[in-house]
Amino acid sequence: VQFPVRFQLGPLTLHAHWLFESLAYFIGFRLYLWQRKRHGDVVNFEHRMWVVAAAIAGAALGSKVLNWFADPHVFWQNWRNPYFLMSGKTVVGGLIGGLFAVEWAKLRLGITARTGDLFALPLCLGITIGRIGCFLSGLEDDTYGVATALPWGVDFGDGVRRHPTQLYEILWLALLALWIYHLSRRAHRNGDLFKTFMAGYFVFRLVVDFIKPGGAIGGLTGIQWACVATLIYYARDLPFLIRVHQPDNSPSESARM
Amino acid sequence: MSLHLNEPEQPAPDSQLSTGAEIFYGLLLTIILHFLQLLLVPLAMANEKAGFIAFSVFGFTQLFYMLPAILYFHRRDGRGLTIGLIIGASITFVLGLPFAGCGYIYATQPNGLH
Repeated sequence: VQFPVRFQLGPLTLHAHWLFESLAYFIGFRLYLWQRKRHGDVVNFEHRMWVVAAAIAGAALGSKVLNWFADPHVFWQNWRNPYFLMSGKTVVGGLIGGLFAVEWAKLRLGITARTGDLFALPLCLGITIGRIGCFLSGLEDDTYGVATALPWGVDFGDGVRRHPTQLYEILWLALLALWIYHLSRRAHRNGDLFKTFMAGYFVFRLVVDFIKPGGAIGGLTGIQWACVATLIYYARDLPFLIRVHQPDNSPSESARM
Repeated sequence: MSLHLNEPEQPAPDSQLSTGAEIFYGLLLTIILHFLQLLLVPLAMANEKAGFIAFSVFGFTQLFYMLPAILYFHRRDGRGLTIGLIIGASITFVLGLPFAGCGYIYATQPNGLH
């Protein structure tokens, strides 16, 4: 395979990242709609659409802003360069931006119900598809790992075998999706599926970013600091998220998604 | 441990249908408004580099017409349309970023993109 991979669609040459990112949004949203139809919703349609709009808008902005601070040294060197400011984005920032935008929208609309459960599995699937595009983009995408001598190291075209951190993430997301699906079939509190996704994903990113290139402040990159802050935000729920998987431990509010 | 016992809100099928249609119209309006980007064509034709950069900032230049449209329909209580416009603009912003990345490479590499 020669990185970056491009797909030919008639006269059009599509970059793998753009293609898989578009597919990720489309398929993730279809899964979300299917789940909503199958399992119902805790808010009415209009409120749900406001939540979706807030989530997408917040994710778009958050993914951009955190990317600036992913490597603070690079940011300080390039903060006057408009093209640096416009390029790139990060999933972690998207999730945090989406989270806070949704909470803000719910506050404005007076929604008190937990609305995130329907997003948990679509996010797992969407990020998984998106990461395929990241992997196929090779060195053009800043999601590869540092050099490794391990047998599964991947040469993205510069002669250096690197950790395929995109594939690690896909594997982790598959396990996380199975765990969330398992939890959804059992007694759980409304909102626990989304919290499980967020906690699981941010723990992974906190760890895996140690084997990605990038400048650090205080031993952690900007993205890792964001992961730490988010995990602190969810710290109150973490013990319950672990205990809830034991049978007969919690009263059932609902076994639906 | 307190539980978040929230009763599902009662669905209103007619209202859901009209809101859904409004959101669809909002997305459609987003696409139509994006034709305003054609105003960038003269700039794009100035030279190859300017053209590439002009279209790489698509996600940002849309703010000039999307923000007023969102505010207009929000004030006129066009909630579904507002939602559709916000979703459309956000998707445009996110999907436009890879082009911005290309623009960055183009502008910073001495020989542009090859």
